Amino acid sequence: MRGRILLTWRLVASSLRRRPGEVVLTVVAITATTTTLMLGLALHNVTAHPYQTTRSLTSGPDVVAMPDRGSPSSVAQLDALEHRSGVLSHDGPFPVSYPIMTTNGSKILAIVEGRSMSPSPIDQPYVTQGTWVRPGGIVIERSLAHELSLAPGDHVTLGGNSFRVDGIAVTAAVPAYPHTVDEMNIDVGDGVWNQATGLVWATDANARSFATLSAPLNYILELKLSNPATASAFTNTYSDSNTLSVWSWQDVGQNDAEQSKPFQQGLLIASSLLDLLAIASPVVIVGGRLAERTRRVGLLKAVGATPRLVAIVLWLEYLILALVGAGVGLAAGYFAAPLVANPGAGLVGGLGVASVSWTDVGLVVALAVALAMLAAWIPSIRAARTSTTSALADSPRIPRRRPFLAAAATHLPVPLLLGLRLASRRPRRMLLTLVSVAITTTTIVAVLSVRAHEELAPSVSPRQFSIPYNPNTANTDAVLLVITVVLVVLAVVNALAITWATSVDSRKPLGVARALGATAKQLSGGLSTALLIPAVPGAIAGIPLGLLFVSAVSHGSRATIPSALWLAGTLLCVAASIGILSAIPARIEAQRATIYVLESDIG
Amino acid sequence: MTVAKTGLSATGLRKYYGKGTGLIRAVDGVDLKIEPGETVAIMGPSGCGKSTVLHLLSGLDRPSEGEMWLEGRRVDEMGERQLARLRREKVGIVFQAFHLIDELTAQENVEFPALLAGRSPKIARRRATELLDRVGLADRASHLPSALSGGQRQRVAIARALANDPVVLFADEPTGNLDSSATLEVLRLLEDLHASELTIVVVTHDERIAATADRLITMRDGIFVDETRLSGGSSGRLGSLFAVELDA
Repeated sequence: MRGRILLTWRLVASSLRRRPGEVVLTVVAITATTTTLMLGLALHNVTAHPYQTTRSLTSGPDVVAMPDRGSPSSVAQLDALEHRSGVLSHDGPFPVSYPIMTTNGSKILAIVEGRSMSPSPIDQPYVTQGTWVRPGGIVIERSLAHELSLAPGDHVTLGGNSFRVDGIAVTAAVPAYPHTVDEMNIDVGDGVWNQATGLVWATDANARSFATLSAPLNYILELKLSNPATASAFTNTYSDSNTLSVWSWQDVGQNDAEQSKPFQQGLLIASSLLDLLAIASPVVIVGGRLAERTRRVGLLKAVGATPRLVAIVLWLEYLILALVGAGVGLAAGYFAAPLVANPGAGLVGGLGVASVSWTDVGLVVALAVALAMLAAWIPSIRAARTSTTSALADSPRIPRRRPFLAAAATHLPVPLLLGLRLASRRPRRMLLTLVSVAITTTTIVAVLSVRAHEELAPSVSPRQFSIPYNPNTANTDAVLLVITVVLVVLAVVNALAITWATSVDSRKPLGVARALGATAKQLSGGLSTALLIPAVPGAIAGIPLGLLFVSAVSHGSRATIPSALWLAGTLLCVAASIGILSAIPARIEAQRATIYVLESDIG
Repeated sequence: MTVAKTGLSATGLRKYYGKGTGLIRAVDGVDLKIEPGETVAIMGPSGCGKSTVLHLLSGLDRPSEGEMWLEGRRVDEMGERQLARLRREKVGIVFQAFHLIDELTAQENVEFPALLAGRSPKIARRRATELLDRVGLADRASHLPSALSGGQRQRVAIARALANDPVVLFADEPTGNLDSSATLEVLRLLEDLHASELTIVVVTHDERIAATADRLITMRDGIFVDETRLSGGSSGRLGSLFAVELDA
């Protein structure tokens, strides 16, 4: 038994040592696949936990109440609320006013809440940047600050007076901007009525000073219940009230989850695209290795290995590669997950805590093992079915013959002649290249479109009052960055895998061409052409697909088309990457004497 | 040394692999001069370095030491691009394993070198047709290699090697993969080429192929140990041994 284990291990180790380049590429491809899968799974946990975290950090209220008009009778209703059964404690009422806020060319009707400089026992907003309110200063809700590009130290004009931005904070008491909307319609002059949006905290005195006749002072009350779970039932009794708005912590949490839903859906679809792209690499690599595996099976059987031993050796070989790839992928995914799973707009979320469960880890490992099984399965089946001599003499499928293309190629310069003939040999691989490049470009264009949308849509017009709608901008940049990085890595891995598989497959015809006098430059040009033939249409198709994708994710609204320069740059970069990467194997082959290239041919 | 403006020559040709105790002297000091129109056969046991000599002379590999000249031009100092041009325009190579491109027909395989050399498709096709006719395969022009016998494949490979009118034809074990009747087909073809005064260097185990040569060189352990003018007698250290091998 011990001898058999030793033999198996030696066979596996020698097989892995034979082609270190392929081993590395396979591990990288599996790593990219598992990392992407980890990120995809982490996205599932985006909405629920961040709100809970914010609520806990800010001692968020269970119920919040606010009169629809700041009349004395309405305020009296708040007093009654404080004494209702089930209410454990309360804070406030805090004064609320609605001044016009102008900054950076934007003009909005803000909701200013007056607060004490000392911490409140209920709903003490969590300051993410800067400090809490001080005289002469204000603190701005994080999503609003992000929308208006405000940071501590900036100045804004509120009610005609200049105020310093002291801090940026988040709260669980009200939905995050742009859903922080006051019910009251306010006359802002020139016959324009508007609803206030965007929460700002100021000192009590400052908040009171913004009250006007057209926008009188209002109040907000925050309650803690003895049983927070009953908050919804508590607020339901006020659902028909025309004078009092009462909402529960569940309402706010649901609103925030809804707010980030389209974005999350988009990320999940993007993640699926990335998964497809990621799985394409191992498929190409494993496919490229199959022919050689069959010969190795023949060799093992020739020296007496049973089909079972052959299957175990092959499976173990891929299992090792898969587990190494999965291990690295899990680690990379674990550290990248918090970036993707950062909170939705305005929520603190689980900063620094990866939203990755053991189930996610199990799924990722299962995927890696499944890949290993799949890769070992086909040659194992062949091992059982094929006679030893047939396996030893196995040669890959004879490439497809395309008479028209072969004839048409004769009229082209040598690199194009070689490229066209190489491309026509393996149509399925060319299709895989096309699809892979199309998915890559689709995702790049989608990312560019989202970025273009953010740049082109300064949501607050300097001359008009409006309720901007640009959810989740707070964490979009970080997420897009992670996706872009993963995408670039995947695209490179994929291009490497496809280039490698094509160059291995082209070794014989290119070796023959070299022996017959083709130069290294012509061979390299031929290989690049063979890859560019499917890559260019794939990249071109990726542009409308990327825009369609963005449109589909944003529920049919038209996607912002990135500038022609960016699109042309994307096409150029994709084509150049394929061209440059394909030149690498050609250059490596060029370093070797022609006879070795010809004799090392596996096909 | 004076350099002839014609023919092929080599001086002190060496090819080593590995280093230290693992150093293998595949070719260990070979001098050779082949006149235009001459056919030279190189024989010897497996692993003696005869194929390596052919690979070096044809520009498929580079020597570790030594000089090589073809038509007055020094080959061993050529860059990769010049070597490619040499293989394209000055030499034709026939391999034991044929090395035909599987998905191209016989005609397309033969016209391939002419296309690589920048000839027009029309001229390349015409030349391929002529050559296939010459090797007796005009009726197999549209066949894929997989539909041809071993002898027919090798004849296609020879036609391909002649596509650009080479100065020298190198053949590495051209009958090594062929049965008896196919060997005869190739043998006749090489005789025809010999008669047309093409310079030929052939590495072979087959004495019938060697018998078509003007000169027979025997190799052992990386060196030439015997040289026989087939019209004359045997010379060299192992001449007698070679004679025994031939008898066997």
